[in-house]
Amino acid sequence: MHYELKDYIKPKTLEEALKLLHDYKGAAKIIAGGTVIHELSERNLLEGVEYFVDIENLGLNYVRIEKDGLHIGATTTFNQIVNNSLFTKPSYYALYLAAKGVSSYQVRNVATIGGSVCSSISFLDVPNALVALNAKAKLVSLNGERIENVENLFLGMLNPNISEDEILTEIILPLEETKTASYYMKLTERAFDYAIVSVGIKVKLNENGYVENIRTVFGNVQPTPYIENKVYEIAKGKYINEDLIKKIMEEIPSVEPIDSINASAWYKKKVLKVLFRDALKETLEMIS
Amino acid sequence: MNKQALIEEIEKQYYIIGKPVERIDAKPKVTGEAIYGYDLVFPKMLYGKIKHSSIPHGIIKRIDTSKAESLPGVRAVITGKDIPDHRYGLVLFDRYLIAKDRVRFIGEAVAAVAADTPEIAEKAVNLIEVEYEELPAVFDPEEAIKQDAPILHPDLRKYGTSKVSAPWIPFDMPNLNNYRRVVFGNVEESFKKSDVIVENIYETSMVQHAHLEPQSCVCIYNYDDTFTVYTSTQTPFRLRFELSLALNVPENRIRVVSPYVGGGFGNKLTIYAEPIACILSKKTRRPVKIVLTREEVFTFTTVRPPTRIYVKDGASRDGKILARQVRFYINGGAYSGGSGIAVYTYLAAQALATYKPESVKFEAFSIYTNLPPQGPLRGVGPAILDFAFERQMDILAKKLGLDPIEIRLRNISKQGEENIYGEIVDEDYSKVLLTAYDALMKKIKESNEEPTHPWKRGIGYALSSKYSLAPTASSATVKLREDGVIEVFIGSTEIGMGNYTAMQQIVAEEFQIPMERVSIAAAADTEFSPFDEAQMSSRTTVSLGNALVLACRKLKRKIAEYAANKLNEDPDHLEVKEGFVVSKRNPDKKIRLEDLFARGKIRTGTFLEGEGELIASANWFIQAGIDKETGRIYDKYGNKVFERVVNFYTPTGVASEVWVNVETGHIKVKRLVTVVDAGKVINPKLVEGQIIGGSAMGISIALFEGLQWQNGYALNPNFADYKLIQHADLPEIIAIATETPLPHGPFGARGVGEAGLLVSDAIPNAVSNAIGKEVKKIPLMPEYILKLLAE
Ligand SMILES: Cc1cc2nc3c(=O)[nH]c(=O)nc-3n(C[C@H](O)[C@H](O)[C@H](O)COP(=O)(O)OP(=O)(O)OC[C@H]3O[C@@H](n4cnc5c(N)ncnc54)[C@H](O)[C@@H]3O)c2cc1C
Repeated sequence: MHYELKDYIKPKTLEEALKLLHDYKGAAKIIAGGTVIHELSERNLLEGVEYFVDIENLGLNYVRIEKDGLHIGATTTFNQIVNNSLFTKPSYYALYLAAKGVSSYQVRNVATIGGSVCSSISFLDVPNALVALNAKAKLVSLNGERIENVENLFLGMLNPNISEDEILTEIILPLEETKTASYYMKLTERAFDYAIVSVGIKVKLNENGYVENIRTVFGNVQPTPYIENKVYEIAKGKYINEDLIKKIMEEIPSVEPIDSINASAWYKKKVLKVLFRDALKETLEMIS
Repeated sequence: MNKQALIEEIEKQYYIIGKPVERIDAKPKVTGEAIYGYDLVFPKMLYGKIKHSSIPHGIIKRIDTSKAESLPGVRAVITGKDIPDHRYGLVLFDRYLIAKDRVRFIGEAVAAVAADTPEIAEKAVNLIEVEYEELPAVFDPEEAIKQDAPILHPDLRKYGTSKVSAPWIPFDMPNLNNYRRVVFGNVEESFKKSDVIVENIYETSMVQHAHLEPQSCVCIYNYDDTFTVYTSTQTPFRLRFELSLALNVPENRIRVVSPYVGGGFGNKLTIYAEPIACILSKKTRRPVKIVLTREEVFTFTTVRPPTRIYVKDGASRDGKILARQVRFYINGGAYSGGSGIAVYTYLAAQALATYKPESVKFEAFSIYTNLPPQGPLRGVGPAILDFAFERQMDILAKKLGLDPIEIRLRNISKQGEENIYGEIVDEDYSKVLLTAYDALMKKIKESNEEPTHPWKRGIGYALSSKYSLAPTASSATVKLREDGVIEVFIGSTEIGMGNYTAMQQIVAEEFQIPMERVSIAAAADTEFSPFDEAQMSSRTTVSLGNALVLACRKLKRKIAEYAANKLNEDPDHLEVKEGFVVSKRNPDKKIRLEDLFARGKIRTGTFLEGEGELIASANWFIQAGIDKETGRIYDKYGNKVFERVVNFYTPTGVASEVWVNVETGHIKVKRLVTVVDAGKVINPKLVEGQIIGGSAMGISIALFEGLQWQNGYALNPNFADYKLIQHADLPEIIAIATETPLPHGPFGARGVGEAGLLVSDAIPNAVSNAIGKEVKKIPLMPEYILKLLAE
């Protein structure tokens, strides 16, 4: 360990937690499920950290429907999402699949939705699914609160657009929509693995079955979730058939992917098309 | 013994051999009671930590340990200055236990610390400042043999070597540290006669053993100037030898004890932290424990070397291989280590034993590079060469329009004839292959699963054998205990394959007593255990098994002689079995083994009147070797120099079915049959476990594994980034053991520990069969498959 922990603090209220983060700014690190913290620790990436502030007891573990959307507390675990039937509805299915695809059961028991977003790691699944679902996040500090689109929370690898004294308190998803479905797919080397690349997709059709909206997100193609606008540009107002899918496949991705240790940009480009096609078909099947 | 007699002996009803007896270590391991090196704790124990080089090649200009020394809780700091001026190794003595002036790979030890806690030790290590002058480094073996390549060991020719097996460096080639040649027939002539020639270059990746328990040791310097070393090793005796070299202390001043070992696969055959902990202990006069981290296991211990294999085969129209020419480049890493470089050149060549071309020219080059040293991994390389050879068989078959099974059968070394080395073949290669083939076809027929787009089915085979090295020796001691239990002393460690159970079964068989009436001490200890070479090379069942059979027979004779007086019977007519000594001609004349002991007058204990102890010890040894120039048992004038090159071979046949996704390059192993010739199965559960374990490792190596480096720095030295197979990726593995008796094996048994790894050579054939393109490197990453498909 390249850091020396002075204390592990488990505050009981949000105010208390925010005050600790404020007072120890720079030396305090939020810990939720700790699954990424553990990895950072092993890789000597926690230099300067002296305090862990555990946010498990702040009352941020909830899922509730309000009039402005579906609110998911930051410390809600992946298994709580997987076991809540709300998320198997087509509008939220992408999130369900992303959470369920995280191995293993033990990790899903502790890993939280907030921790996943705040890690800002390009190959994590849940953040990419959230961006596909147009999610917003609420962030709170002693200076007040802000609501951001989730895609605006990533500056780069391990570099979230979140201040050290801020806590992400909840994720807000749009209310369920009709003629809408979503899907998430990842390509991995082994049965349980991080994504080589992934695709999150949400489609809304109009009454006649034409595309009203499509939002597509590619994971691990850029250091932050990549919103592929090309898909909507091509499909807007159209009926999706094999020809259209082929056409889209030719045009995506509209960005040169980053190389990874296990896959080059060349490979990512090739398989993204296939992954997108399969994810889109699955999505459409759920609407009809 | 003639063959008929042998088969009769094998066929007779055994008492316990061949029975699926439960492992004697199953319960303590499942409950967590079993003690490993990792678990050991001693009073006043300190924790050691090693500082490793941060550059792949360079001169150490300055080391400043002052900050580390002044950290509270630090008890000792050592550097290259504190160690004896003695290099160690197994066959080539090329390494200091801590670098003195020069570092040659990033894992190399440059200093070490002993402290009150592991945390303080780690902190102290980070406070040690090392200044280097970087030297140009080289990472590819064929770059390293170029004339202008950086030379890793300028003093190579001055290094000491083992008297029994020195490396062979017959010509000047930069960084070459061992060479092996096999010359059989005349390849030039045979190529001229050939109808087809197939020439390819194959590559294999660097593979780590990934044993569960990292290397762990506690070393204690004793008041009488001796060392006691508790460590996780496959070979207490070899370890003691290497320690004596590295520490410059006679072997009789070092005691090595090895409790249960959490896996080794060849990576626990040499010293790592032990000599460092010994020196720290001597300095502090306290026990010092060092447990390697996983990252250290990846970068500081040994690896299966990356290799490049050039193969050129010439064959006749009917599929008979006439010429096989091979150049095998081994990326040997920075040191020969305990067992690495030197033996790869030597033993990998045994992969040539399976087939008998008209002529062979094989050359292996072991080359220093600035990477971690090489070690055996479930064998020393035949599975690597077999990847190339088995691919060649399929490519040849395709060219000639032959069935892949047929071409193999046409080329195998036949029973009773000589293989290319001149050894008489007792292996039945066709049986393992055909058994695998039949079992797979049956399985496929039973299921009516058909792949649909984008999945494509492929079937692939591999046929070869795993040699077991020789010369080799095992000793064993057995003793009759006062309660009638037979106590067994062996110097073999239990590294997870169940060998203690098999050994106990052999003794139980000899005495015809239940397993509970045999006792094996669960720790090998050089102070008390008889010599055993090592837990390696699939050798224990055969070598130690033979020694035990001999020792048991000696002890039975001794017991009979001792009982003769009491029973008033000729010892020749006495039999020791089922816990009794009994007369063969008068079964009423018998005595219970316990009753041979008398009790003292004041009832303090028991003794054997006028005898001392009923104890017997035996040794089993097999000689072997080659003529260097020919690489065979014959020299170039045709004189026989040795009888054998190795102890024995274990033939293995694999049949696999894979499905390949042609859109993503992903590979699913759907069905797998691994057939290993066990000679005689001592315990079917253990044999099945070894075959399945080896097969799983084989799939993992074929599909996923590769330790990657960039300019001498490891990119994935951890279990998140180094991909090992997961349970969910495994198909049902059908493990079958055939039984072609080994004439000199105990009850006909052969070793089966490593043979399953051959699976890594069947999968590439199946994948090539599925995609219609020839794969030439492993692992078979999805990207590589798509690249081939895009060609
Ligand atoms: C074995 C293993 C397998 C995995 N497999 C997958 C996988 O297949 N797919 C995948 O997507 N992920 C995978 N993960 C990662 C998993 O998604 C993340 O571990 C998890 O979502 C992080 O949540 P956490 O609560 O554990 O975060 P923590 O580790 O507690 O925190 C992560 C980071 O976020 C910060 N943070 C946490 N909560 C907040 C908050 N509310 N406000 C502000 N900052 C916060 C922390 O300070 C830290 O920097 C895997 C992890 C492991 C260990």
